[in-house]
Amino acid sequence: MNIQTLIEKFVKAGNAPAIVSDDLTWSYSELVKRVNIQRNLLNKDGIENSVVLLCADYGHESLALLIALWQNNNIVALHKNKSPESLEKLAKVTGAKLALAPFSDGTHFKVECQFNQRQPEIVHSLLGKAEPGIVIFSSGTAGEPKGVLHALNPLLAKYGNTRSCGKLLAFLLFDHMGGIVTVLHALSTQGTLVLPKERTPREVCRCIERFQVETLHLSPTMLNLVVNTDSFKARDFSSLQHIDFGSEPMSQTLLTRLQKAFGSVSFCHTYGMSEFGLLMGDPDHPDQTGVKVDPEYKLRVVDGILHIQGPTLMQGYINQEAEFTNDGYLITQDTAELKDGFLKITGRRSDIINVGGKSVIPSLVEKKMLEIDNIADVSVYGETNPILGQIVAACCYLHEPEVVDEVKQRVFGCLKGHLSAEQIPRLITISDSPLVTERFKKAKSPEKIAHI
Amino acid sequence: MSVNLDVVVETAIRGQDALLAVPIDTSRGRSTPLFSEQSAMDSITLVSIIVDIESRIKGILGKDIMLADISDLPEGSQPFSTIGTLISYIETRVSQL
Repeated sequence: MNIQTLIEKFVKAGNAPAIVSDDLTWSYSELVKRVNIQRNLLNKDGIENSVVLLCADYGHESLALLIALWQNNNIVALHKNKSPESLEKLAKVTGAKLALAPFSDGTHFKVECQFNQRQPEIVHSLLGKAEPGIVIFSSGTAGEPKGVLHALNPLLAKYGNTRSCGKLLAFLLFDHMGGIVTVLHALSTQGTLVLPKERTPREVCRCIERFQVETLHLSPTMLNLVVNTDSFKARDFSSLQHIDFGSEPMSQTLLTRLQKAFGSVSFCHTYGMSEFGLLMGDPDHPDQTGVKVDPEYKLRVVDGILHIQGPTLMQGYINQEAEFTNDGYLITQDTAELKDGFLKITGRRSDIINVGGKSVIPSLVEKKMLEIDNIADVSVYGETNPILGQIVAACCYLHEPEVVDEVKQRVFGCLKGHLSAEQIPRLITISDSPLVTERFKKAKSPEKIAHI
Repeated sequence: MSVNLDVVVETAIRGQDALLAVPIDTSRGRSTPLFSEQSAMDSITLVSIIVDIESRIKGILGKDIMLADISDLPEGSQPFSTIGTLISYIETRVSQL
């Protein structure tokens, strides 16, 4: 599949609903019209076969502009931040000469970037072949974000030929891989992309009921938050059929809790990174705490770290060297277990806690702690300690208020005999806010909680 | 606000009972051995007690106190050998806040 065949699919879908934005429905015919208007404007300005910054969030106009840019074989660097400082920084990194932002009237705002004229060598691998592409800025664990360059066609081929999603709630961020996969999945299967007005558990619940959402793409942390809201109990979720989850480990305890809460909905574990897109799991597999590996991908675990190779692997980073092995595997830095083609991600290498020389994997401790009464969610992390190097710390979010001493005693009592002395959290705190970051992933320390 | 360090230390020690096969016997009061040759306490339990004490003092005084770092003490200092040496050490740290 390429961008032209995607447009042909849109035309064929006609008046079927494509996007729900601000509670208004836009059909595929209307989307095609919007794409054509944007494309005419791009052609007028000669914007083709170039690197362009697109400063936008979800919306029918953003999507029309994104698709029009791809039709003109541009590499689109996505970013939500429109500040001049941010634009200057991203233009320098990507070599973009233009930044665009959509207007609600179907036109767009254009800024000429004068910051530099030199494009990174890697973008020519696509521009030289007049192939559209996308740059996603990945949250690096340290330092500057990494610009991840993908060719569009492999992503379209992969996510455009997957199962139909029906009405899909777009919750994952637009300028991240999860958001792009959500868009490609919904629009290339003639589904409906439902855009929430805000990213809150309450709005998720409202949209599911109001727009009869059939598929959700959410993180385990966000799903846990949703089922703990009053809105969840009050709303009708009977339209919901599939929940695809990923971006962080899922414990059996949490999965069981979610399966009980959502009833007959099918759950499917996915595994994704900006660097290779999303490995879609098998919803029929009995164990959804891991991913049944797609045979198109080659995976191996070396020294506990996952290596991966496959059709949607990135072209590379635009602003730094990528970590590939000599035989072309990406070194993910994710810690994983792989057995008989079944993958379980246990965390990130950088998350491993070193307690007096013994390694502790936070997700294993979190899994046990979620079995303890009144603990709705928990984030386990390493706290620096002069005697042992690090100790295990846990920040808990509770169902009902409880003093920290009582929680600590119950945690100690429940974990003794199940975890080693090094694995047991020695510092336990309680958070009043759900343990999520601004990106709706599990906050890996109290400082990273977004307080939404 | 003053801190009753005997109570704070005793509470922190009792807080470890749920994890230990044999609870720490504190019947000798301030002479009770903690992290010393006369005691079987391991380093993770010591750290657990120290972290608990740090949290409690922060809760009372509203200030961070760092007890685990003894790098600035004179050579040969053994602040964790008994309950008494630990309390003396904490008093010194609290007075420096």
